[in-house]
Parts: sequence; structure tokens; C-alpha cells
Amino acid sequence: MAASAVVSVRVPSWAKKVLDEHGVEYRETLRRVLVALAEAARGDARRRLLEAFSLADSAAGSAEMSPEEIVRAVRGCED
Amino acid sequence: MRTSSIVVVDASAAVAALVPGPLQQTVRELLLDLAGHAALVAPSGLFDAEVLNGLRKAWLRGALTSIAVGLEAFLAMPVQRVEVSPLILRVSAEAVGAGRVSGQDAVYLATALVLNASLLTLDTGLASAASRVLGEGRVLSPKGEA
Repeated sequence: MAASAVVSVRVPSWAKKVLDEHGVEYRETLRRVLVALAEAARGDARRRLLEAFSLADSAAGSAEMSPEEIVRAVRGCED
Repeated sequence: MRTSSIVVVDASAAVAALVPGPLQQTVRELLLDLAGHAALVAPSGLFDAEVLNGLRKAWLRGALTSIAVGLEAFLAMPVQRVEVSPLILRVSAEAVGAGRVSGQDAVYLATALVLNASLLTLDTGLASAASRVLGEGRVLSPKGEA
């Protein structure tokens, strides 16, 4: 049986405040944030990023996009 | 730079990390640094649709040879999606009402505000608005002009 890693994540005080004020509406959001913090703490997030970058590099074309082009493109502003 | 333990990543930053360009390496290094200690999050739906816009454009420009592979790379990124809740929309509406931000920008801003997060973007307009709303120290702009 594989051992599972346990990572302790401190719930920030603001998160407790949001939970108190908005309860159910924010429970899922906070769960996702805590999952992300745990991924960061384990080093999984960095590993996944490196995998993503490697995959992206395998599909890199010969052209480049400037930051301005990227911003226009993501916002849906066609040239 | 002092950042929150939560960072809202906007679509321009994600695309810049995936597609060849002058800031690609800078954005990658920044994301790798952040991923070691912070939660990377983005507003669900908006972020994904915008990145798809960017990947499509990159493919049309010849910066990407395959949208499908670009998309898989995007999906492999450890960015948690958070719901654009009624509260985030209400805060977004206030930001739009205050002027000079689009609806999309307002959702990123509101997400960062509600989560007490920093914001990573290449968009100088969004970075400028975020500096006013969140405070300069919570805006991460690879150009360093926020």
C-alpha cells in the first residue's frame, strides 16, 4: 500500500472571516485555495508547472507573440 | 516583493508562459517561484475562455504548432479555478462602475480583492487598475510597470 503524504496547511484568519460571513457560498472556493496551498507545500505545483512548460515547448512554433499581442488576443480583440 | 499567499493568475500571464515570446522565460520563472509557496487561482470560465482565445491566436500566428497540445499544457498548469460567485460579480460591478476597467478585468480584480490575493498579469491597464484597488505591492507585472 502506498503511503500518503499529509501536509498541514494553516487556514488564514481572513479565510475564517469569509467563511463566517458567507458560509456555504465560499466553502468550495476556500477548499480549492487550500488544495492549491497544499500542492505548493508538497512541491507538486512546481512539478506540474515544469511538465506543462515542457509540453508547451513541444508545440512551440517559429513565431513569437509580444505581450501586447497576447493581451489583445486573450481579451478577444482581433487584429 | 511581498505577495499574498494566494495569487490570481490572469489569462495573459498563462498564455505568456506557454507561447514563445520575449517574456516567456520571465513569466515561467515567476510562476515557478510563486508555485513554491502560494496558491495559484483563477476565475473559472473567464480564465479558460480567454486562454483559449490566446492559444487560438498563437496558432494562427505560427507561435504554436498545435492548439490541442497547447491546451493540454494549459490544463496541466496547477491553477485552481474558483467560482465567479454572486459576491465576486457584485464587487466586479462596482469596479466597472468606478470606470476604466472592462468586465473581464473587473472579475480578475474582484477575485483578487475578495480572496485578499495578489494579481499576476501582463496587461498594463489591468495592472494599473489593480494597483489602485489592491495596492501596488499586490500586483505582479513581469514588465515591472504596474
